[in-house]
Amino acid sequence: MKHFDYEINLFLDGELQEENRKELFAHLAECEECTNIFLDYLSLKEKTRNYFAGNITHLKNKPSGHNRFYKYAFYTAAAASIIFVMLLLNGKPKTQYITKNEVRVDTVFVQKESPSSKNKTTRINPFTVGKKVLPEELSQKAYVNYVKGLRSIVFSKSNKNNNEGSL
Amino acid sequence: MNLKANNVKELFEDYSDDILNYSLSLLKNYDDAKDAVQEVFIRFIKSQDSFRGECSYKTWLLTITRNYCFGKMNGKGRQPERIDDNFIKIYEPDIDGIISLKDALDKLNEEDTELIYLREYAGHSYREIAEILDISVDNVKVKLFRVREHLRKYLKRGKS
Repeated sequence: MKHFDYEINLFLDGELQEENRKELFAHLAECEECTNIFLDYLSLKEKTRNYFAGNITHLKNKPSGHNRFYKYAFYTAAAASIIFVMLLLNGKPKTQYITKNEVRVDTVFVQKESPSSKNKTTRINPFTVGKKVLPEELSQKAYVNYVKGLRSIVFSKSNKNNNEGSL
Repeated sequence: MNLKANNVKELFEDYSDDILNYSLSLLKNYDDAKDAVQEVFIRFIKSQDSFRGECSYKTWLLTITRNYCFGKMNGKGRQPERIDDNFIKIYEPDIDGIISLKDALDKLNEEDTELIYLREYAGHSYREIAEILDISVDNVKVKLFRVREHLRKYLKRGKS
């Protein structure tokens, strides 16, 4: 017996001529095998349609390549900023403002002697700014030398202690 | 210019989704598919003088889409990922059925997959498919029949 699977195929796509359609229906009423083929094609059509629909929806919702690019760009930017910060730390020190009486020698600040304080006989004031130099007439006095001697002893002692401590 | 801007606008509104889905089924990448839509309309506007009205605008646009997509795919080699595996996990409760269908579709060649797509998903008539693929209507009938027969037998074998 002739089977009608080719005609079934055309019928399901709406491409079968009217007279062939009647012939097909007549055959389907008798042939169980063709009825099964008909049902198989029907479910196959539905399955493939759903499959393509699902696949296309999935492809549309999938994170795109541009997003991946931004992800990598974020890491690159993070790495670049870390390198930038490290360069800043290793580079030029922060700007420091120095007073009129200071001279900058690399990073060590040395106080300039102010010309006015040299010739002036002023009282020794512990709060005077600048290097403390005793006026000449004062440094010649005996008690001042004595006090200076005492201070140097105390100073060297404390220095010793410090050195021991650090060792 | 044969076409007015309005006409192009209407065509874009009517068919851009079809073009997007068709190029998505070929390129398997949403960004590339979106680029394809733009490129297709640019080519359409440029080449409208050569349109002789033998087929519908839709068919012509899809033919341009096909040419563009194949050109793009040849440029970077065929895509290894025909159908994404992940989608099975997300969308389909009937995993067994869909895996065997996926296997079956994977084994088809590019033209057969396209044929099935154009018929089952895009819902084109045989004549439109013939114009898009540049083959005869009888050829479409026979090929589609063979592909379906192949898929049916493959799924039957999987079940038994």
